[in-house]
Amino acid sequence: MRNLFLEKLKEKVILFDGAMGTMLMKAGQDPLKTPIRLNLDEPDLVTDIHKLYYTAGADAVITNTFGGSPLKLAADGLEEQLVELNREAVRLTRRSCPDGKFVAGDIGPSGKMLKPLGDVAPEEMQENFFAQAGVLIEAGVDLIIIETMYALDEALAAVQGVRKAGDVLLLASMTYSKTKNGFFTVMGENIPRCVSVLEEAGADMMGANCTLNSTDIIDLTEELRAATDKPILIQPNAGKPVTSKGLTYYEQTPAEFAIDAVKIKKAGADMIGGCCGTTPEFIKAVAEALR
Amino acid sequence: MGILEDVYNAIIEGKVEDAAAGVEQGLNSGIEVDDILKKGLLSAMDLVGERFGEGEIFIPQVIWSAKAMQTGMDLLRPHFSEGQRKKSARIIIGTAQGDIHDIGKNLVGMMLEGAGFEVVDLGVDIKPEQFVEKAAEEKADIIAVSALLTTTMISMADVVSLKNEKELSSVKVIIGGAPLSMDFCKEIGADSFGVDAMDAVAKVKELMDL
Repeated sequence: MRNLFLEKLKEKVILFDGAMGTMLMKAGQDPLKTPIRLNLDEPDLVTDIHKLYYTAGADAVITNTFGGSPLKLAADGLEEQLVELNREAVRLTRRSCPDGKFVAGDIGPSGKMLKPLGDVAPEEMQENFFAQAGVLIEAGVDLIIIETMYALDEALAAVQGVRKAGDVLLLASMTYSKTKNGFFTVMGENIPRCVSVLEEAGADMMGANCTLNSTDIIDLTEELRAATDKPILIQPNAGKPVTSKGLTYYEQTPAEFAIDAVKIKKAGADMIGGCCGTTPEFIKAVAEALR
Repeated sequence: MGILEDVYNAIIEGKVEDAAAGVEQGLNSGIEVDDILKKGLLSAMDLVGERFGEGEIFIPQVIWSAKAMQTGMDLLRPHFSEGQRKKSARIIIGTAQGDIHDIGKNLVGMMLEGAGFEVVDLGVDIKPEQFVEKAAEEKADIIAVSALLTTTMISMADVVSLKNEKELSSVKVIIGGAPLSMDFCKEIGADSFGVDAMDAVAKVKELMDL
Protein backbone atom coordinates (compact mmCIF):
# COMPACT_ATOMS: atom_id res chain seq x y z
CA MET A 1 0.00 0.00 0.00
CA ARG A 2 2.90 2.28 0.80
CA ASN A 3 4.07 1.82 -2.75
CA LEU A 4 0.61 2.28 -4.27
CA PHE A 5 0.23 5.65 -2.59
CA LEU A 6 3.72 6.80 -3.59
CA GLU A 7 3.12 5.57 -7.15
CA LYS A 8 -0.08 7.57 -7.34
CA LEU A 9 1.80 10.66 -6.13
CA LYS A 10 4.06 10.41 -9.17
CA GLU A 11 1.02 10.46 -11.46
CA LYS A 12 -1.01 13.33 -10.03
CA VAL A 13 -1.73 15.69 -7.17
CA ILE A 14 -3.43 13.53 -4.56
CA LEU A 15 -6.59 15.12 -3.25
CA PHE A 16 -7.51 14.75 0.40
CA ASP A 17 -10.96 15.39 1.86
CA GLY A 18 -12.34 18.46 3.61
CA ALA A 19 -13.65 19.06 7.11
CA MET A 20 -15.62 16.53 9.13
CA GLY A 21 -16.84 18.82 11.94
CA THR A 22 -18.39 21.35 9.56
CA MET A 23 -20.37 18.56 7.89
CA LEU A 24 -21.51 17.09 11.19
CA MET A 25 -22.88 20.46 12.24
CA LYS A 26 -24.73 20.79 8.96
CA ALA A 27 -26.25 17.40 9.66
CA GLY A 28 -27.61 18.80 12.90
CA GLN A 29 -25.22 17.14 15.30
CA ASP A 30 -24.86 18.69 18.73
CA PRO A 31 -21.68 20.73 18.41
CA LEU A 32 -21.06 20.40 22.13
CA LYS A 33 -20.30 16.71 21.80
CA THR A 34 -16.98 15.38 20.59
CA PRO A 35 -17.25 14.03 16.99
CA ILE A 36 -15.34 10.81 17.65
CA ARG A 37 -18.31 9.35 19.58
CA LEU A 38 -20.26 9.28 16.32
CA ASN A 39 -18.14 6.40 15.03
CA LEU A 40 -20.15 4.25 17.42
CA ASP A 41 -23.32 6.35 17.88
CA GLU A 42 -24.04 7.45 14.29
CA PRO A 43 -21.92 5.24 12.03
CA ASP A 44 -24.11 5.82 8.97
CA LEU A 45 -23.76 9.58 9.21
CA VAL A 46 -19.96 9.33 9.36
CA THR A 47 -19.94 6.86 6.47
CA ASP A 48 -22.14 9.15 4.35
CA ILE A 49 -19.78 12.09 4.85
CA HIS A 50 -16.77 9.97 3.87
CA LYS A 51 -18.63 8.82 0.74
CA LEU A 52 -19.48 12.40 -0.21
CA TYR A 53 -15.80 13.27 -0.14
CA TYR A 54 -14.69 10.27 -2.20
CA THR A 55 -17.42 11.06 -4.71
CA ALA A 56 -16.37 14.72 -4.82
CA GLY A 57 -12.95 13.57 -6.00
CA ALA A 58 -10.88 12.94 -2.89
CA ASP A 59 -8.23 10.24 -3.41
CA ALA A 60 -7.63 9.94 0.32
CA VAL A 61 -10.11 10.40 3.14
CA ILE A 62 -9.07 10.99 6.72
CA THR A 63 -10.65 8.89 9.48
CA ASN A 64 -12.82 10.51 12.16
CA THR A 65 -10.13 10.05 14.82
CA PHE A 66 -8.68 13.55 15.24
CA GLY A 67 -9.35 13.45 18.99
CA GLY A 68 -8.63 9.73 19.29
CA SER A 69 -5.46 9.65 21.36
CA PRO A 70 -5.82 8.53 24.98
CA LEU A 71 -4.99 11.93 26.52
CA LYS A 72 -7.55 13.70 24.36
CA LEU A 73 -10.19 11.00 24.86
CA ALA A 74 -9.69 11.26 28.62
CA ALA A 75 -10.77 14.92 28.51
CA ASP A 76 -14.23 13.62 27.53
CA GLY A 77 -14.13 10.54 29.71
CA LEU A 78 -13.83 8.27 26.66
CA GLU A 79 -10.38 6.80 27.30
CA GLU A 80 -11.79 3.31 27.92
CA GLN A 81 -13.06 3.27 24.34
CA LEU A 82 -9.72 3.94 22.66
CA VAL A 83 -9.74 0.71 20.68
CA GLU A 84 -13.42 0.64 19.62
CA LEU A 85 -13.61 4.30 18.59
CA ASN A 86 -10.44 4.20 16.49
CA ARG A 87 -11.04 0.76 15.01
CA GLU A 88 -14.61 1.56 14.07
CA ALA A 89 -13.52 4.84 12.48
CA VAL A 90 -11.15 2.99 10.15
CA ARG A 91 -13.85 0.45 9.29
CA LEU A 92 -16.31 3.24 8.37
CA THR A 93 -13.79 4.96 6.11
CA ARG A 94 -12.69 1.69 4.53
CA ARG A 95 -16.23 0.67 3.69
CA SER A 96 -16.74 4.02 1.93
CA CYS A 97 -13.46 3.79 0.04
CA PRO A 98 -13.57 2.84 -3.66
CA ASP A 99 -10.86 0.59 -5.10
CA GLY A 100 -7.66 2.43 -5.83
CA LYS A 101 -8.32 5.14 -3.25
CA PHE A 102 -6.89 5.53 0.25
CA VAL A 103 -7.75 5.62 3.95
CA ALA A 104 -5.62 7.95 6.08
CA GLY A 105 -5.66 7.39 9.84
CA ASP A 106 -5.94 10.75 11.58
CA ILE A 107 -3.98 11.77 14.67
CA GLY A 108 -4.52 15.23 16.20
CA PRO A 109 -2.97 17.02 19.17
CA SER A 110 -3.33 15.69 22.71
CA GLY A 111 -4.57 19.02 24.01
CA LYS A 112 -1.77 18.99 26.58
CA MET A 113 1.60 20.70 26.63
CA LEU A 114 4.87 18.95 27.27
CA LYS A 115 7.10 19.78 30.21
CA PRO A 116 8.36 22.27 31.25
CA LEU A 117 5.48 24.45 29.94
CA GLY A 118 2.89 21.77 30.59
CA ASP A 119 2.91 18.69 32.78
CA VAL A 120 3.25 15.81 30.33
CA ALA A 121 6.60 13.98 30.12
CA PRO A 122 7.97 13.18 26.62
CA GLU A 123 7.70 9.41 27.22
CA GLU A 124 4.05 9.77 28.21
CA MET A 125 3.35 11.86 25.12
CA GLN A 126 5.04 9.31 22.88
CA GLU A 127 3.08 6.51 24.55
CA ASN A 128 -0.14 8.46 23.94
CA PHE A 129 0.36 8.46 20.17
CA PHE A 130 1.86 4.96 20.11
CA ALA A 131 -1.39 3.64 21.61
CA GLN A 132 -3.63 5.32 19.04
CA ALA A 133 -1.35 4.51 16.09
CA GLY A 134 -1.28 0.84 17.10
CA VAL A 135 -5.07 0.61 16.76
CA LEU A 136 -5.13 2.53 13.45
CA ILE A 137 -2.42 0.37 11.88
CA GLU A 138 -3.99 -2.85 13.13
CA ALA A 139 -7.33 -1.73 11.66
CA GLY A 140 -5.70 -1.35 8.26
CA VAL A 141 -5.11 2.29 7.37
CA ASP A 142 -3.05 2.98 4.22
CA LEU A 143 -1.16 5.82 5.85
CA ILE A 144 -1.21 7.88 9.02
CA ILE A 145 -1.51 11.64 9.07
CA ILE A 146 -0.47 13.57 12.15
CA GLU A 147 -2.03 17.01 11.76
CA THR A 148 -2.77 20.40 13.32
CA MET A 149 0.31 20.15 15.50
CA TYR A 150 1.13 23.57 16.93
CA ALA A 151 4.11 22.49 19.05
CA LEU A 152 7.11 20.78 17.50
CA ASP A 153 7.96 18.80 20.62
CA GLU A 154 4.50 17.19 20.58
CA ALA A 155 4.69 16.51 16.83
CA LEU A 156 8.04 14.85 17.38
CA ALA A 157 6.57 12.65 20.13
CA ALA A 158 3.75 11.74 17.75
CA VAL A 159 6.12 10.76 14.93
CA GLN A 160 8.20 8.71 17.36
CA GLY A 161 5.07 7.06 18.78
CA VAL A 162 3.78 6.10 15.32
CA ARG A 163 7.20 4.85 14.23
CA LYS A 164 7.35 2.65 17.31
CA ALA A 165 3.90 1.27 16.46
CA GLY A 166 4.77 0.15 12.95
CA ASP A 167 6.27 0.77 9.54
CA VAL A 168 3.35 2.70 8.11
CA LEU A 169 3.52 5.52 5.57
CA LEU A 170 3.57 8.63 7.75
CA LEU A 171 2.74 12.28 7.09
CA ALA A 172 3.35 15.02 9.68
CA SER A 173 1.48 18.31 9.24
CA MET A 174 2.10 21.39 11.38
CA THR A 175 -0.08 24.45 11.93
CA TYR A 176 1.68 27.72 11.19
CA SER A 177 0.59 31.31 11.72
CA LYS A 178 1.65 34.20 9.56
CA THR A 179 3.72 36.84 11.38
CA LYS A 180 5.57 39.83 10.02
CA ASN A 181 8.75 37.77 10.22
CA GLY A 182 7.33 34.80 8.32
CA PHE A 183 5.51 31.60 9.19
CA PHE A 184 5.86 30.16 12.69
CA THR A 185 4.04 27.73 14.95
CA VAL A 186 2.50 29.45 18.00
CA MET A 187 5.48 28.05 19.90
CA GLY A 188 7.86 29.95 17.63
CA GLU A 189 9.25 27.16 15.43
CA ASN A 190 9.83 27.97 11.78
CA ILE A 191 9.34 25.72 8.76
CA PRO A 192 12.94 24.54 8.22
CA ARG A 193 13.25 23.64 11.91
CA CYS A 194 10.01 21.64 11.95
CA VAL A 195 10.89 19.85 8.73
CA SER A 196 14.37 18.85 9.82
CA VAL A 197 13.22 17.52 13.21
CA LEU A 198 10.27 15.57 11.77
CA GLU A 199 12.25 14.12 8.87
CA GLU A 200 15.01 13.06 11.22
CA ALA A 201 12.42 11.28 13.39
CA GLY A 202 11.19 9.30 10.40
CA ALA A 203 8.20 11.08 8.86
CA ASP A 204 7.86 10.21 5.15
CA MET A 205 5.85 13.26 4.10
CA MET A 206 5.38 16.81 5.38
CA GLY A 207 2.37 19.07 5.59
CA ALA A 208 0.77 22.30 6.76
CA ASN A 209 -2.87 22.67 7.73
CA CYS A 210 -5.39 24.87 9.54
CA THR A 211 -5.37 28.55 10.64
CA LEU A 212 -4.35 29.97 7.22
CA ASN A 213 -6.80 30.44 4.38
CA SER A 214 -6.11 29.21 0.86
CA THR A 215 -4.58 32.55 -0.20
CA ASP A 216 -2.16 32.99 2.70
CA ILE A 217 -1.02 29.39 2.46
CA ILE A 218 0.38 29.84 -1.07
CA ASP A 219 3.54 31.57 0.21
CA LEU A 220 3.86 28.98 2.93
CA THR A 221 3.73 26.24 0.30
CA GLU A 222 6.74 27.77 -1.45
CA GLU A 223 8.69 27.86 1.80
CA LEU A 224 7.76 24.32 2.72
CA ARG A 225 8.69 23.17 -0.80
CA ALA A 226 12.10 24.81 -0.44
CA ALA A 227 12.64 23.14 2.94
CA THR A 228 12.07 19.50 1.96
CA ASP A 229 12.34 17.02 -0.91
CA LYS A 230 9.61 14.87 0.57
CA PRO A 231 6.01 15.00 -0.72
CA ILE A 232 3.98 17.81 0.87
CA LEU A 233 0.29 18.11 1.75
CA ILE A 234 -1.39 21.52 2.05
CA GLN A 235 -4.79 21.81 3.79
CA PRO A 236 -5.98 25.41 4.26
CA ASN A 237 -9.09 26.57 6.06
CA ALA A 238 -11.96 28.07 4.07
CA GLY A 239 -11.04 31.45 5.54
CA LYS A 240 -12.29 32.58 8.91
CA PRO A 241 -15.64 31.67 10.37
CA VAL A 242 -18.17 34.48 10.29
CA THR A 243 -21.23 34.47 12.52
CA SER A 244 -24.36 36.28 11.63
CA LYS A 245 -27.74 35.89 13.28
CA GLY A 246 -26.67 32.73 15.05
CA LEU A 247 -25.45 31.05 11.86
CA THR A 248 -21.80 30.32 11.26
CA TYR A 249 -20.25 30.15 7.82
CA TYR A 250 -16.76 30.52 6.38
CA GLU A 251 -15.56 33.46 4.31
CA GLN A 252 -14.27 31.64 1.26
CA THR A 253 -16.35 30.06 -1.47
CA PRO A 254 -15.46 26.78 -3.21
CA ALA A 255 -14.64 28.74 -6.39
CA GLU A 256 -12.19 31.08 -4.65
CA PHE A 257 -10.62 28.15 -2.84
CA ALA A 258 -10.19 26.24 -6.10
CA ILE A 259 -8.44 29.17 -7.83
CA ASP A 260 -5.93 29.23 -4.96
CA ALA A 261 -5.54 25.44 -5.12
CA VAL A 262 -4.09 25.78 -8.61
CA LYS A 263 -1.54 28.26 -7.23
CA ILE A 264 -0.82 25.96 -4.29
CA LYS A 265 -0.05 23.17 -6.74
CA LYS A 266 2.18 25.48 -8.73
CA ALA A 267 3.99 26.47 -5.52
CA GLY A 268 4.97 22.85 -5.13
CA ALA A 269 2.24 20.94 -3.29
CA ASP A 270 2.02 17.21 -4.05
CA MET A 271 -1.21 16.77 -2.12
CA ILE A 272 -4.06 19.20 -1.40
CA GLY A 273 -7.00 18.94 0.96
CA GLY A 274 -9.19 21.19 3.09
CA CYS A 275 -9.29 21.98 6.79
CA CYS A 276 -11.94 23.85 8.84
CA GLY A 277 -14.97 25.04 6.92
CA THR A 278 -14.34 23.08 3.73
CA THR A 279 -17.04 20.77 2.38
CA PRO A 280 -17.40 18.28 -0.50
CA GLU A 281 -18.22 21.26 -2.77
CA PHE A 282 -14.74 22.66 -2.07
CA ILE A 283 -13.06 19.37 -2.90
CA LYS A 284 -15.13 18.99 -6.05
CA ALA A 285 -14.17 22.50 -7.17
CA VAL A 286 -10.49 21.77 -6.50
CA ALA A 287 -10.70 18.47 -8.39
CA GLU A 288 -12.19 20.24 -11.39
CA ALA A 289 -9.69 23.11 -11.24
CA LEU A 290 -6.73 20.74 -11.14
CA ARG A 291 -8.00 18.50 -13.90
CA MET B 1 17.45 52.10 39.42
CA GLY B 2 19.68 49.02 39.41
CA ILE B 3 17.27 46.76 41.28
CA LEU B 4 14.21 47.83 39.30
CA GLU B 5 16.11 47.26 36.11
CA ASP B 6 17.02 43.77 37.30
CA VAL B 7 13.37 43.01 38.02
CA TYR B 8 12.33 44.43 34.65
CA ASN B 9 14.90 42.36 32.79
CA ALA B 10 14.09 39.20 34.76
CA ILE B 11 10.45 39.48 33.65
CA ILE B 12 11.35 40.16 30.02
CA GLU B 13 13.71 37.19 29.97
CA GLY B 14 11.28 34.97 31.88
CA LYS B 15 13.68 34.26 34.75
CA VAL B 16 11.45 33.26 37.64
CA GLU B 17 14.12 33.09 40.37
CA ASP B 18 15.78 36.33 39.34
CA ALA B 19 12.42 38.10 39.38
CA ALA B 20 11.70 36.85 42.91
CA ALA B 21 15.16 37.78 44.14
CA GLY B 22 14.85 41.24 42.57
CA VAL B 23 11.47 41.97 44.16
CA GLU B 24 12.70 40.84 47.59
CA GLN B 25 15.81 42.92 47.26
CA GLY B 26 13.70 45.90 46.22
CA LEU B 27 11.40 45.51 49.23
CA ASN B 28 14.36 45.10 51.58
CA SER B 29 16.11 48.19 50.31
CA GLY B 30 13.00 50.28 50.80
CA ILE B 31 12.02 50.93 47.19
CA GLU B 32 8.40 52.05 46.94
CA VAL B 33 6.01 49.15 46.34
CA ASP B 34 4.37 51.18 43.63
CA ASP B 35 7.68 51.62 41.81
CA ILE B 36 8.47 47.91 41.92
CA LEU B 37 4.98 47.19 40.64
CA LYS B 38 4.88 49.74 37.84
CA LYS B 39 8.47 50.25 36.77
CA GLY B 40 9.58 46.69 37.43
CA LEU B 41 6.72 44.28 36.81
CA LEU B 42 3.92 45.95 34.85
CA SER B 43 6.03 47.85 32.34
CA ALA B 44 8.04 44.71 31.61
CA MET B 45 4.88 42.69 31.04
CA ASP B 46 3.56 45.44 28.76
CA LEU B 47 6.61 45.02 26.56
CA VAL B 48 6.25 41.22 26.61
CA GLY B 49 2.63 41.59 25.52
CA GLU B 50 3.58 44.02 22.80
CA ARG B 51 6.28 41.74 21.42
CA PHE B 52 3.90 38.80 21.49
CA GLY B 53 1.23 40.80 19.69
CA GLU B 54 3.77 41.74 17.04
CA GLY B 55 4.78 38.11 16.52
CA GLU B 56 8.31 38.77 17.73
CA ILE B 57 8.09 36.30 20.61
CA PHE B 58 5.93 33.22 21.07
CA ILE B 59 3.91 31.31 23.65
CA PRO B 60 6.84 29.72 25.53
CA GLN B 61 8.52 33.09 26.19
CA VAL B 62 5.22 34.64 27.28
CA ILE B 63 4.54 31.77 29.67
CA TRP B 64 7.96 32.10 31.31
CA SER B 65 7.60 35.87 31.60
CA ALA B 66 4.14 35.46 33.09
CA LYS B 67 5.46 32.91 35.57
CA ALA B 68 8.21 35.33 36.59
CA MET B 69 5.62 38.08 36.87
CA GLN B 70 3.30 35.97 39.04
CA THR B 71 6.14 35.06 41.38
CA GLY B 72 7.05 38.72 41.77
CA MET B 73 3.43 39.69 42.23
CA ASP B 74 2.90 37.11 44.98
CA LEU B 75 5.80 38.60 46.93
CA LEU B 76 4.56 42.13 46.39
CA ARG B 77 0.85 41.71 47.05
CA PRO B 78 1.04 41.60 50.89
CA HIS B 79 2.63 45.05 50.75
CA PHE B 80 -0.06 46.67 48.60
CA SER B 81 -1.86 49.71 49.97
CA GLU B 82 -5.66 49.80 50.01
CA GLY B 83 -5.58 52.04 46.93
CA GLN B 84 -3.45 49.63 44.96
CA ARG B 85 -5.79 46.80 45.79
CA LYS B 86 -8.86 48.70 44.68
CA LYS B 87 -7.37 49.59 41.34
CA SER B 88 -7.32 45.96 40.42
CA ALA B 89 -10.27 44.03 39.04
CA ARG B 90 -11.46 40.54 39.79
CA ILE B 91 -11.96 38.46 36.67
CA ILE B 92 -13.66 35.11 36.25
CA ILE B 93 -12.18 33.25 33.28
CA GLY B 94 -13.03 29.96 31.59
CA THR B 95 -13.48 28.13 28.30
CA ALA B 96 -17.03 28.03 26.92
CA GLN B 97 -19.36 25.08 27.40
CA GLY B 98 -18.46 22.12 25.20
CA ASP B 99 -14.99 23.44 24.53
CA ILE B 100 -11.95 21.89 26.20
CA HIS B 101 -9.24 24.06 24.65
CA ASP B 102 -7.33 25.82 27.35
CA ILE B 103 -4.05 27.04 25.91
CA GLY B 104 -5.46 30.39 24.77
CA LYS B 105 -7.52 30.80 27.91
CA ASN B 106 -4.50 30.06 30.12
CA LEU B 107 -2.41 32.54 28.20
CA VAL B 108 -5.00 35.29 28.60
CA GLY B 109 -5.33 34.43 32.30
CA MET B 110 -1.59 34.73 32.77
CA MET B 111 -1.41 38.01 30.88
CA LEU B 112 -4.25 39.42 33.00
CA GLU B 113 -2.52 38.34 36.19
CA GLY B 114 0.63 39.75 34.75
CA ALA B 115 -1.13 43.07 34.35
CA GLY B 116 -2.02 43.00 38.02
CA PHE B 117 -5.60 41.71 37.94
CA GLU B 118 -7.00 39.04 40.21
CA VAL B 119 -7.96 36.05 38.10
CA VAL B 120 -10.23 33.16 39.09
CA ASP B 121 -9.81 30.37 36.55
CA LEU B 122 -12.82 28.04 36.33
CA GLY B 123 -11.18 25.72 33.77
CA VAL B 124 -12.71 24.30 30.58
CA ASP B 125 -16.22 23.32 29.43
CA ILE B 126 -17.91 25.86 31.71
CA LYS B 127 -21.67 26.22 31.55
CA PRO B 128 -23.18 29.73 31.36
CA GLU B 129 -24.77 29.19 34.81
CA GLN B 130 -21.37 28.38 36.29
CA PHE B 131 -19.84 31.60 34.94
CA VAL B 132 -22.69 33.69 36.31
CA GLU B 133 -22.97 31.97 39.68
CA LYS B 134 -19.25 32.22 40.27
CA ALA B 135 -19.23 35.87 39.23
CA ALA B 136 -21.88 36.64 41.84
CA GLU B 137 -20.14 34.58 44.50
CA GLU B 138 -16.72 36.13 43.88
CA LYS B 139 -18.14 39.63 43.38
CA ALA B 140 -16.32 39.69 40.08
CA ASP B 141 -16.04 42.74 37.87
CA ILE B 142 -15.57 40.84 34.65
CA ILE B 143 -16.42 37.46 33.13
CA ALA B 144 -13.96 36.39 30.42
CA VAL B 145 -15.05 33.55 28.11
CA SER B 146 -12.78 31.78 25.63
CA ALA B 147 -13.72 29.48 22.74
CA LEU B 148 -11.72 27.90 19.94
CA LEU B 149 -14.63 26.21 18.21
CA THR B 150 -17.23 27.94 16.07
CA THR B 151 -19.67 25.51 17.59
CA THR B 152 -19.06 26.44 21.20
CA MET B 153 -18.80 30.20 20.80
CA ILE B 154 -22.57 30.26 20.55
CA SER B 155 -22.89 29.55 24.29
CA MET B 156 -21.27 32.93 24.98
CA ALA B 157 -24.58 34.55 24.10
CA ASP B 158 -26.15 32.60 26.98
CA VAL B 159 -23.55 33.91 29.41
CA VAL B 160 -24.57 37.46 28.49
CA SER B 161 -28.31 36.87 28.67
CA LEU B 162 -28.13 34.88 31.89
CA LYS B 163 -25.97 37.54 33.51
CA ASN B 164 -28.56 40.18 32.57
CA GLU B 165 -31.39 38.01 33.85
CA LYS B 166 -29.67 37.71 37.21
CA GLU B 167 -29.35 41.48 37.36
CA LEU B 168 -25.60 41.46 37.38
CA SER B 169 -25.52 44.38 34.98
CA SER B 170 -22.36 45.84 36.51
CA VAL B 171 -20.46 42.67 35.60
CA LYS B 172 -18.93 43.00 32.15
CA VAL B 173 -18.45 40.13 29.73
CA ILE B 174 -15.36 39.97 27.53
CA ILE B 175 -14.90 37.24 24.94
CA GLY B 176 -11.97 35.93 22.93
CA GLY B 177 -10.76 33.04 20.78
CA ALA B 178 -9.63 32.31 17.24
CA PRO B 179 -13.04 32.23 15.51
CA LEU B 180 -14.44 35.35 17.18
CA SER B 181 -14.82 38.88 15.93
CA MET B 182 -16.03 42.28 17.07
CA ASP B 183 -19.17 41.70 15.00
CA PHE B 184 -19.95 38.55 16.94
CA CYS B 185 -19.27 40.38 20.20
CA LYS B 186 -21.78 43.08 19.27
CA GLU B 187 -24.30 40.58 18.04
CA ILE B 188 -24.46 38.72 21.34
CA GLY B 189 -24.29 41.91 23.40
CA ALA B 190 -20.95 41.19 25.09
CA ASP B 191 -19.08 44.21 26.41
CA SER B 192 -15.77 43.64 24.71
CA PHE B 193 -13.69 41.38 22.50
CA GLY B 194 -9.96 40.68 22.77
CA VAL B 195 -8.37 39.74 19.48
CA ASP B 196 -5.38 38.22 21.31
CA ALA B 197 -4.02 37.95 24.85
CA MET B 198 -2.46 41.38 24.76
CA ASP B 199 -5.57 43.00 23.41
CA ALA B 200 -7.60 41.23 26.12
CA VAL B 201 -5.54 43.04 28.76
CA ALA B 202 -6.02 46.38 26.99
CA LYS B 203 -9.78 45.80 26.72
CA VAL B 204 -10.10 44.84 30.38
CA LYS B 205 -8.29 48.05 31.30
CA GLU B 206 -10.73 49.96 29.11
CA LEU B 207 -13.71 48.30 30.74
CA MET B 208 -12.33 49.14 34.20
CA ASP B 209 -11.49 52.71 33.21
CA LEU B 210 -7.83 52.14 34.07
